[in-house]
Amino acid sequence: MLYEKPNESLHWKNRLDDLDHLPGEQIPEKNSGWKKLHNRLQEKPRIKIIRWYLTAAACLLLIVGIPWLTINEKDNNLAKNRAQLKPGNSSITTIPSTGNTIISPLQTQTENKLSVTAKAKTKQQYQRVYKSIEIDKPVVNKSKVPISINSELYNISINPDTIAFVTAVPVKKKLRVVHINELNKLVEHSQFARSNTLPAFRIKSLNDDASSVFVVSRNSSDNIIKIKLPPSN
Amino acid sequence: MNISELIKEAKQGSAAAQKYLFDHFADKMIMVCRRYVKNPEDAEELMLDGFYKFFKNLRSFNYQGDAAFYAWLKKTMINECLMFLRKRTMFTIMSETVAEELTLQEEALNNLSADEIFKMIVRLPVGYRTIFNLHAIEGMSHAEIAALLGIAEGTSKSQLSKAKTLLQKMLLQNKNDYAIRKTQ
Repeated sequence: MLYEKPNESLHWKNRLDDLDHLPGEQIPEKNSGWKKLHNRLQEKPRIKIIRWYLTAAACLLLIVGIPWLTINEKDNNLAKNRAQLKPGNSSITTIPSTGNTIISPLQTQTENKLSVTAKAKTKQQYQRVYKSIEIDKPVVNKSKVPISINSELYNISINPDTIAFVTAVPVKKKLRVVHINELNKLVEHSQFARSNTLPAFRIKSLNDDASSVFVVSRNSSDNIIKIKLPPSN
Repeated sequence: MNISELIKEAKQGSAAAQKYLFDHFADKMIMVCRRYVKNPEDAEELMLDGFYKFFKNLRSFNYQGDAAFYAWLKKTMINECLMFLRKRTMFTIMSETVAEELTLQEEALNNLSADEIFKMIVRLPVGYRTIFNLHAIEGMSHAEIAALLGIAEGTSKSQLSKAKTLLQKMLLQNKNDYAIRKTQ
């Protein structure tokens, strides 16, 4: 008898423990029970929970990894663009420019005259840096043309047969307030100085809404601005 | 073959030793489970679950006598039954009202057969039955029962007193029925 208190074999608790079936009831078959139990004992340990953890870990990696990769790609592109513009020595004398310089648009037609543009991507903004050249002076057309960007010289290899179209990107430009007496100086140095077309400016008087047109006289040597007034009523 | 040798071989994975232990104790363990869950099919499933855990944890068991082994096996079965009952029964909603003043004459139970006692216990409601099984039969304290079932100690005491009251009523009814049968 497997009792904790062997002397109390007649105690109702111990008799209850000894009960293995109820009278009148069929004794349950143990073989089928043992088969089920034996199969469970032979089963491999459950790996479902581990699979769930692995799936969750993979999803987390994707969620974290995709944004990280896209950020790295952008950084790599920036680095590549910078790497293209390698600082190097140039045997060509150039005019270094500081900061952002806007040159005059392409006007020459000779083969040797090319304007070169270089893109310099900075973190703040994209700007096109132009090499400042004088008009009608040939650009040194060799395999490498130095371009200065932010006070450093970069060499860019170009094909002489290609024509680079230059488009001026308007850098934010403040309108300069000039005195009317200084207008003639500006006009002389402007692109229109050598052209046949005469610049025309419109000015408005303070008193009336009618605008007046004045035309710069090209032939006059005296820096006089002639104003053509509207017909009075 | 004694139990200690069977346990040694079962620890090493011997299917024959495991089957011998199963055949020897399965009937008693199923009756232990039926005292808690009442339904025979559920009791059989819980008995198999209990034996599965028993054999899985056998390596950590140190044999200290047949009684200790039997107590450990029975405790495994009872834990399975309580886990099953906790899922289906809200023990926390059991009331703490004091039962009527009717003490159970436990000596009277000694005059009854095991199957009669078993049938009386199984007729009790699940809350009364569980706490009566744990306190009166397994010898657990009210504090241990409260911790095990997640109830208050007062609830455990009140449920036990109600169980004893009900059992006493059943005993009296049995006595009357016995007396009536005897006169007839």
